[in-house]
Amino acid sequence: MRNISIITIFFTLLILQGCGGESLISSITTSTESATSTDTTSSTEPVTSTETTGSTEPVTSTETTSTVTVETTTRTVAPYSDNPLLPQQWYFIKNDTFYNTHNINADAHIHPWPTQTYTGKGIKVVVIDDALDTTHEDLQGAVVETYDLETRTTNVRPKDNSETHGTAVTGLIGASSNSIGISGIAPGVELYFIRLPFNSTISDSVIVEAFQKAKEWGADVVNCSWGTGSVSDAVKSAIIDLARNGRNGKGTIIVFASGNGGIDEIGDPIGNDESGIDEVIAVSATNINNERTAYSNYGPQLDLVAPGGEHMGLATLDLMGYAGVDMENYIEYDSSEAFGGTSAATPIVTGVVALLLEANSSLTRDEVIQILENNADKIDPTQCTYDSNGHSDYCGYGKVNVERTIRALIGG
Amino acid sequence: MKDSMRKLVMLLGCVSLVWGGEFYYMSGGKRVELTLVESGTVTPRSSQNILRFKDGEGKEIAIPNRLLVKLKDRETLDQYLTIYKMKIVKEYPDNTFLLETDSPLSAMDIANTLSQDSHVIYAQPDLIRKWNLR
Repeated sequence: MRNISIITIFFTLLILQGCGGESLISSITTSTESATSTDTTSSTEPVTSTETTGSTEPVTSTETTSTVTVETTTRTVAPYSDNPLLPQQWYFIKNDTFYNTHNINADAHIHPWPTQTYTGKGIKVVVIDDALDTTHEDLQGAVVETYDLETRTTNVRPKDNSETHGTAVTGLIGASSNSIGISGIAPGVELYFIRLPFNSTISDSVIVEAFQKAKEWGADVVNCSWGTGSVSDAVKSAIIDLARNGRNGKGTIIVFASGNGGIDEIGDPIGNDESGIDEVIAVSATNINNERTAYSNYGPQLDLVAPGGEHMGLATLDLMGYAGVDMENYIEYDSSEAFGGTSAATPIVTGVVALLLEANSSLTRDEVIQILENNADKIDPTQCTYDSNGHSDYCGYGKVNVERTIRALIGG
Repeated sequence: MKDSMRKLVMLLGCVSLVWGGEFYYMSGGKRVELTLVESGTVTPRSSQNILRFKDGEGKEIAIPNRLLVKLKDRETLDQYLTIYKMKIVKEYPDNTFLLETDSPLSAMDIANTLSQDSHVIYAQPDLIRKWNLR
């Protein structure tokens, strides 16, 4: 095979040379980039963290492994109603005044469990994203461990003002329930964060490392609000390995955004995307009308839909201070740069998975997915025709419903 | 005679260009055809020898002199390292390796060859591309 390619190239070079393309040939054959930073994939050293996260969370205990320092934190969860921005969290809890004012469909939220019995306590949620503002006031005590696969340090804070996505995603999952800001869907979870340079380019080997890092940390749930549309064998293999073998063989639940392909107002087929892997949960988005959003991708691989915003964004965390999307520490529902998309719907499902696992930590990955799908709401019959198995290419098995799901799990 | 030879070479080159397919990698048992391009926005941050391509959907991909290989059995690794003159860059669990070759073209060709090997679960170049937040 190699010889054929070399011969083919030889002939191609000759013919191009015959056309006077010599300079072109020399420039397109290979190119060497000047060294601007440390090679992120060439190290043969074991991953060893020596830096601290820079966060000021209270640490209640520390245990050391051979390669990383594992910190265990304890989170205090105040009543949801204590959070001043809770009324804006239309995707989470129905606030009658806010719903009436903005004419939001009464079922647009995820039907939370009526009490705060389940907050995701003790559940390890790994977020793989662009950056996390670990100094955020609404994440104090929440972040257990971090790692930057670009710099090989534990500093995952934004490198510039554009890296706001990971903080917004993480806030939806596990922002603290206290007297400031919002509450995450699962404000009791243990948050782990892996930073990748999404504003640049990333090699498949680094993505493979990300999932292996999540496995090393013992991830219960992994949130991936990103993708390529064309998953490679190596990345697919790493994802499947974690999904099947994580959690000591019970399987890690990996939640992927299906993608926002909807410039034609119908979305794109999921196709060979990371979210199309059988072992993961593929999530598309709904809006305040409790309907599928026009931009969401679709297909037989789609598992669930969850609020992701369309006419109204999802209130969540911004970078602290003047940095980030807005001048404040939060991206509010009416921000000109409101947070939405399948990126936003995905952490909603991730948070719900954490609640389920707290309710019954012995559930396998397959059982978690099945119970979520069996108890989802069959919304939007206009766009979504559900087959005899209860599946629609445009809404999956329906919109995630926390109350029905937990009730089905624990009875009552 | 010399003119005839030159015409033959040009003809083969044309056939090769028309058919394409000399640049590809395997994914899910299928060939992903690539078109060599002069430049692009896919730029690795580190010092790397790369080839730049576009796939069938026009997405940019860069290929460095590295490949990812997962073997059924680790014992076969040494012979591959010897035959193809490769070095181990990183070893992952489950017989998965990041290997280095002498050039991006070698990485692609060796990966494509190993993909056909019954002792190999997968082999692919260490694709460098843009990953999109959603």
